[in-house]
Formats: sequence, C-alpha cells, structure tokens
Amino acid sequence: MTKEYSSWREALAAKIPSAVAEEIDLFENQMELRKAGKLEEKVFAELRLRRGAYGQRYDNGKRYDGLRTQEIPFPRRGLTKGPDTEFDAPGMQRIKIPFGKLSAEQLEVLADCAEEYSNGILHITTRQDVQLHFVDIEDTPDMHRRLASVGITTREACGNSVRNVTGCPYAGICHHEAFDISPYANAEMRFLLGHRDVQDFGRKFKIAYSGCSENALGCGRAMMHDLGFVAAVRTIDGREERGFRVVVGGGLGPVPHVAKDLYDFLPVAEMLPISQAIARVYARLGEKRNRNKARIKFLVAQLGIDEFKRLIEEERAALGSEPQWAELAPSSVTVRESLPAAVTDGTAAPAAGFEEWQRTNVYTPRQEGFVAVLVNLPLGDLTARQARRLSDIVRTYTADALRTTVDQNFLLRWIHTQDVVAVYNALHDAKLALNGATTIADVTTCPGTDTCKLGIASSRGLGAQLRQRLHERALQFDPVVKDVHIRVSGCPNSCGLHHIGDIGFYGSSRNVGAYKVPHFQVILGGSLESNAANYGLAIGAVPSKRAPETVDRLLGFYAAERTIGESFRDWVMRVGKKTIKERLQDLMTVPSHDEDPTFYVDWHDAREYTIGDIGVGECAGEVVSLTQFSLATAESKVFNASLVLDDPQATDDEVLGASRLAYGAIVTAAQGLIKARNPDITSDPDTVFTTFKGSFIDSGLFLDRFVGAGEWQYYQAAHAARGEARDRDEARRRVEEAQLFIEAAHACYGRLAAGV
Amino acid sequence: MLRAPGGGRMSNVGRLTAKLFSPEPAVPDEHFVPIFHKWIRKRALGGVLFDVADYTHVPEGPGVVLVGHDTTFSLDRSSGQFGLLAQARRPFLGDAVEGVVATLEALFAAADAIERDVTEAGLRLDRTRIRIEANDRLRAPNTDGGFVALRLVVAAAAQRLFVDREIIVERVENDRRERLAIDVILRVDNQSLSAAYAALME
Repeated sequence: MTKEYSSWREALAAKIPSAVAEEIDLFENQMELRKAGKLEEKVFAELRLRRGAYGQRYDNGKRYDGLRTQEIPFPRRGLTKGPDTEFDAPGMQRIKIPFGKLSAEQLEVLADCAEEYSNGILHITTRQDVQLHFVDIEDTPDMHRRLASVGITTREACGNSVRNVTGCPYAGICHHEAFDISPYANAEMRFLLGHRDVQDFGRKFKIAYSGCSENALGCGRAMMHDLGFVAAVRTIDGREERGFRVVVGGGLGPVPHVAKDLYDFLPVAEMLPISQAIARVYARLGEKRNRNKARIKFLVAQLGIDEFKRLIEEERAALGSEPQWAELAPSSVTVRESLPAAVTDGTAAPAAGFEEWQRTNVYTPRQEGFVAVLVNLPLGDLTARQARRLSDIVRTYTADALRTTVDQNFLLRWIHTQDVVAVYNALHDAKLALNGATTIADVTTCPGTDTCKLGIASSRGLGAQLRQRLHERALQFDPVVKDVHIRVSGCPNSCGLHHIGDIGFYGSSRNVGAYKVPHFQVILGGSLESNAANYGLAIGAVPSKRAPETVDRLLGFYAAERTIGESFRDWVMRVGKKTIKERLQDLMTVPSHDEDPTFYVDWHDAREYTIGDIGVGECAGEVVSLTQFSLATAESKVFNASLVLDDPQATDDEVLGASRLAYGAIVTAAQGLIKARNPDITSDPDTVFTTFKGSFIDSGLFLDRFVGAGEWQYYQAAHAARGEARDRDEARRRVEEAQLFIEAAHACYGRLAAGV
Repeated sequence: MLRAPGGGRMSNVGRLTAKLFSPEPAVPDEHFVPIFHKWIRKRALGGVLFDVADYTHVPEGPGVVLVGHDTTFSLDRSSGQFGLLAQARRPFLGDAVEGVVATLEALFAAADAIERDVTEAGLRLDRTRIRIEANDRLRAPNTDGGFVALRLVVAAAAQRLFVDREIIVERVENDRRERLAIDVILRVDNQSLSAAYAALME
C-alpha cells in the first residue's frame, strides 16, 4: 500500500538534498515573515526573485477595463510581496534549465506543476528556461520542492544574479563545433549557482556557451551575452588544446552592445577562475544605484576592454585556489544519449505531412545513423498533456536526449534514423508535429502585454497572427524567404530578441488625436551569424494592425530584388534603410478612430488600447545588499527557532536545536554587517565573532545611545555557550535575545547606509 | 462534518477542475475575448476576475482563458473535446464537499452566462455530464484509493446540488500520470419527468 503524506515537504524529503530542502524551507519562512509584516517588502521581492518567482501584469492591483482603470479586489488588498505588488496577485515562475538539457522525468514533473499551479501551459523562453504563468506565490515552495526532487532549480532564475547558463542545443552533434560545450556549461552553472561572489550584483548576469564561431544556425549567441564562451581548439607542439574565445559586455535591451573580446583563447582550466574573477570585478565596480546603467556592458564600455582585462587579471592573480575548480573540471567526452539500437524496423507508414515536416524539422548530425528532430512549439507553448506525450517519446526513442532551444522549441537528439517515421507519428498524435521549425513561420516572441508588466504592445498577439499567415502561405518552404527570421518584443527591452531578427519588431505607443494606438517599431539588419554579432536598427513605427502587411511588403521587395544567394540582411544593407523606410511610409499612417476603430485595439485584446497598465519591471529587482540578505536570513532562523519553541510537543533535542539556531541567527546577522565592508568574510563563528568585535564593537559602530550594548552582551553569552541551552526557558531567552540582536543589527545597518 | 463509510473523515481532495462539454462552436475563438473582458468590467460571476489570456495557438489547449482569483475559466479543448472548464486555483481549506459545490456552482454560473452572451453562435453546453479532475496529485492521486475518496466527495456535492437527478459517478480511464478524472452523469429520474409533464398539462 502506498504511504500517504500530508505535504510535499514530507513526501519528497528523501529525494531532495538537505541543503536544497533547507533553502526552500527558508524561503517558505520568509514568505510567512512577509505576511506577518516582519520582512521588508523590498527585501522579500528580491528574495522571491532569486527563487525565480517574478511579478506579472496587473499585480499592482489595477487594470484598465476598456473604459477606466479599476482596482482589482484581491482579498488581502494591501498585503504586498514587493513594492507596489499585491501578494494575492498571481505571478510568473521561471525555472532554470541549464543549457536546455532536460530528462523525461523532469519534463513530467514540469507538466504536473503546470497543471496544478498554473494553467496547464509550459512556456519555453529564448534563454532555454521554462516559465509558468498565473502562479500563486504561496504555491511556489511546494513547486520548488517537486522540481528539486528531480534535480531542477529555480534558484537565481530572476533577480540580480547569474541567470540560466545557456548553451547551443546542437552541442555534441553539430558539424561545425570545435567540441561539445555541454559539460563546460554544466560546470559553469554548478560553480556559480549560489556562489558567494555572485550575490552582490547591481543587475542580472547572463552567460552563454557556443560550440563554434561562425555558425549560421545562431544557436550559441555568445556576442549578445554578458559573458560568452566560444569553443576553440589550438595546437601547440603537435598537441591539441581545448579552450574558449571569451567575450564580455554584450547584451540587448534598449541599449544593445556587442560583446568585446576578452581572450582569443583561454584554456579550459581557466574557465572557472576567470568567471569568478569577472564576477568579483563586476560586483565591486558595477553600478548599483542606477539600474539602467548597471549591466556589465556599461562597466566594460566605461573602463574600456583593456583596463577591464587588466582588472580581471589582477583579480585572477589574487584569487586563492578553489577546490571546485578541480572538482567541477568537465569530462571532455561527448555523451552519446542514444539507445543501443533502433526501436522500430523503419517500415512504419508515415502520417500525413511527414515530408513537409522532414524538410524543416529534421537535422542530420555529424554522427552517422542518427537524426535530431525539432519540435516546433507555437510561441514556445505546449500543454502539460503534450509534455507527457513528449516525455514518452524521449524515453522510447532516446536516452533522455532532450534540449530546450533558444528559439523556444525542443530538440530531440540521438534518434536512430530508422526511427524517424515512428517519432514523427508519435509527435503527430500528440499534436506536436508542426512543420517550419526555425523558419520564417517560427516567429519568436516575448510574453509582451499578455503577462509582462513592461509590455507596451501585444507581441504574442502579433506573433500568433504572423505565424498563422506565414503557415497558410507555406512560406516556410519557400527557398527565397524561409530563412528570414522574425522576432517580436513587446517593449524595447528585447526579450523577444528583435535586434537579431532579420525583421524585428518592438512595441511602442503613439498618440493619434485623443487616442493611443499600439505600434511596433520595425528593426531591420540584424542576424544570427557570428554568434549574433549584428544588431538591426529601427527604421520607423507601424501601427500594430499593419505589422503583418509590413512583413508582406518587405518579403515582396526582397524576393523581387535579391541577387542570387543574397541574404535578407545583405539586401537591407545594399538597398539601404532610407529607401526601405520610404517604401513603407504609407503603412506608418493610422486611420482616424471613426474610420477604423480596430487600429485602436491591440491583438489578443478587445479593450481600447492604453498604456495605463504598464507597471514597474522586475527584470533587475531591487538592489538589495548582502547585509540585507543576511539580516533576512537571520530573521528566518529566529522565526524557525520560535516555531519549535511554540510547539509544546517539541523534544529536548529539538529545543536544543532551536537554541543553536538562534545563535546561528546572531552569527548570520553579525556576518551580514561585516559584509558591508568585507564581502569575503567567512561564516566561521569564531572568525565572525572576532571580526565583529574589532570592526563594530571596538570602533563603537554597533553601539548607539539606546541599543547595542545589551545586544552585544547577548552575542557574547551565546557565543561562549555556542548556542547551547540547559532547558526550554534558556532556549526561549536565546531566541528572544537573538531577535533583539537582529533589531540592533538593522539599526546599525541603517546608520551605515545613511553614512552616519 | 461528512463521514466516509466506516466513520472515516471525508478526504480533502485539494484543487479541482470541472468541465461541461459542447459541440465545437460556430464562432471563432476570438469571439470569446470581448465577452470575457466584459465580464471583468462588469464584475460578473461574483468572484474576482482580472485577466484574459489567449492560448488558441496551442492545439488541444485551454483556448481563451478568463483568469480569476479563486476560479479560472477556459474554453478548453483538452483531449480534443471542446467545453467550458472551471479551474479552482487554490486548495479548499474547509469542507471538501463545500469546495466541490463551490466549483460546480461557479461552472454552472459561467455556463449560463456564456450561453447568454454568445447569442449568434447558439453555444449549448451539455449539463448532463460533468468531467471533474482532481488537480492535486498529493491529496487525490490517480489511484484506486484516490478514486474512492474523490467519488465520495463529488457524489455528496452532486446530491446537494442536483436533488432531482439520478447521479452516476464514473471513473475516466486514463494514463495514471494524468489527473484523476471522473464523469458525473446526471439523469432526470422518471418521477421528476412525470412531475414536469403534469406541470405542463395543468
């Protein structure tokens, strides 16, 4: 008989590493503290962002209904989970899938979470993450547990941290790669996840791995990342050596930068140390106050790449050796994720549409006898049921060879050629056999106004419209235009990667008479080549409802005027944006409201258009200092300890544990204060005590007129006893004293921050 | 408190979805978007409604979705069957039967409203069969035991709501990784039919 459990925490206890389980428990406690008003909303916002729990449109409790802005009557109105963010408003959960690698089991758990905590839809992002929307914050701890039980983390999926490490989904099977970057991307992810040197950034930090420098598939995209690694091999004395071209300071967003070369060739053994050195320099010198200037691209631009490199090398030289550098040193062997033999005899009759699908969705890898198959997801979406069917296909035909792609699709790798018809038939049954993957009909979009707080126009609405039109006209098979890529963002921040589309769009708004009209800026001249090193430029805005016609016209001109083999980008550069803009001029006009009111309503909507629903983005989150994080953690520890003592059934061991936890809270708070001046302080209790005494007591910094002296005595007493307590009363006193010490630490930090 | 046979406590089955089926409507999905926006504006259905999401591009997906705080409604095509689906977004903390009743009441209220508003399409939802899925794999797993517990709760809720109907609760056979699913079939019994006939004749 199956054992019954009362909670996921209990049910999955044996499947989650204890450190991970504690992190999730801690987050759950922080949520309780926030609900009780004992944790500042700004601090909780960054804490949840670092667990991947992101805000969503209308979470400020206001929504334009087409006539006026209405308050949304959430039950606990006024209880917030961040500045101007209602606690009861649903949010988005971002889930990291490092270099896109997923197992069948992981996909099934994602499907279960999508059904139970979201709306049954899994969304794949351009950074290979999975996102679930309309998630209640109170469901997130259980969701995190279920994901953690199959080795998936949401840690640092949002916030000012190292985001998902992306990697070419074709790694290991690509014809052009120098070597398989998968194990290196994996090592980087494991090394930096939660690392102390990546906790104090002013903004997010994105890393990408590419297997080759000149690929036309554009799968690595290193040049548009904060830090990019491009695989390279050199030969010295007849011996081949692996390494990376390292680029830094790239990024899209409203002010796009192409990454600069930091190293032409960095031996693989230096990959982790240099990453750490870069993180330390960014944390130390990167902008913290002005989030618009806080990405590392601005630091690189400000310092110049030569000075930046000098600082990195200085930092590298000063780094002590980290055991993890060796422990995580990747294996250099490409793992064959194939079954030992084909599953079918290859004689199955294909379902309808096989040939068209094969033309666009099947990739022939360098390993003979295999194919890789793209699963084309409309706008990056699939249902939970489809995800389960896909997990069956992954299990049946491969050895867990599944990757999410940077084009919001899945790639099934290592399929025996003989099984390709059977795989198609299975995908067809699951309604996952849409052809046209990575062609013109596979339009990339960000969430836009559908769910994003920053969205200005409906990128998904336009994307859906374009996909349908292009499919209907079968342009995915047209040899002239099939490789033109269209990318749509809902705002200038470029989550839809409009800068690197042949045709890009980003949402904007224009006033026409007394009305606002949704528009899209047209971006031309971008491309994926050379790791996405060419960004397009805006030529003017067209009304949202004329964007499909704009695409038609551009394709028409290109098809008519291109020279043999000329790419769309090359045609744009030859003809010139000025000329192209003149040819689109009539499409930039808007009919009056009386003449055609549909122009005043966006795609996917029925309301008269407004920009009144735009909120404050959480892309970066608030800048929360290391000290504030430590104080929040200390609060959670005291809270946990008090819960134990409130339980009359608690055993003596549990009471003693609570007392020790209270002492741990004091140490964490003291360590947090020290971090304001020395981010490298260890968590060793003796070191913290000695350093705290020298820096905060002997200097008088901790001691105020009213607070500090008594709290310092509590610390001394707890330290002398190492948190031990003789009985429940003493344990309770330790908890209360720890709470008072944390209060004093908050006051001290307030004085430090104010420069008093 | 309701008691299970043998005196056990009625299980908390967690979250649920409930769906009424319909033939494919004659209007395209976009037709439902302004209706749902209107419901938000007019604060229809009594609960907190606040967003409309469009997933019509996903085959056999949730279609057009009306997002609410307690209940989300969608014009769902899962398993290839069109219908109106109500999804309770949070677990019921109190009486499990009350929770099912609340979800079914929300579903039927939305069904009345959508039929009223989709005038030209002649949308007709079949109210004689309700597909209920337990959307909580911890509290109501897709097992024989889970079915027994869910059937008990749903039958009690149905008896409370449909007093003049014969109620049949059947398990929907499916992949055990899917949600535990049951169909509640509502039949008008002969006595009620006779009473209705007599009322007509008067």
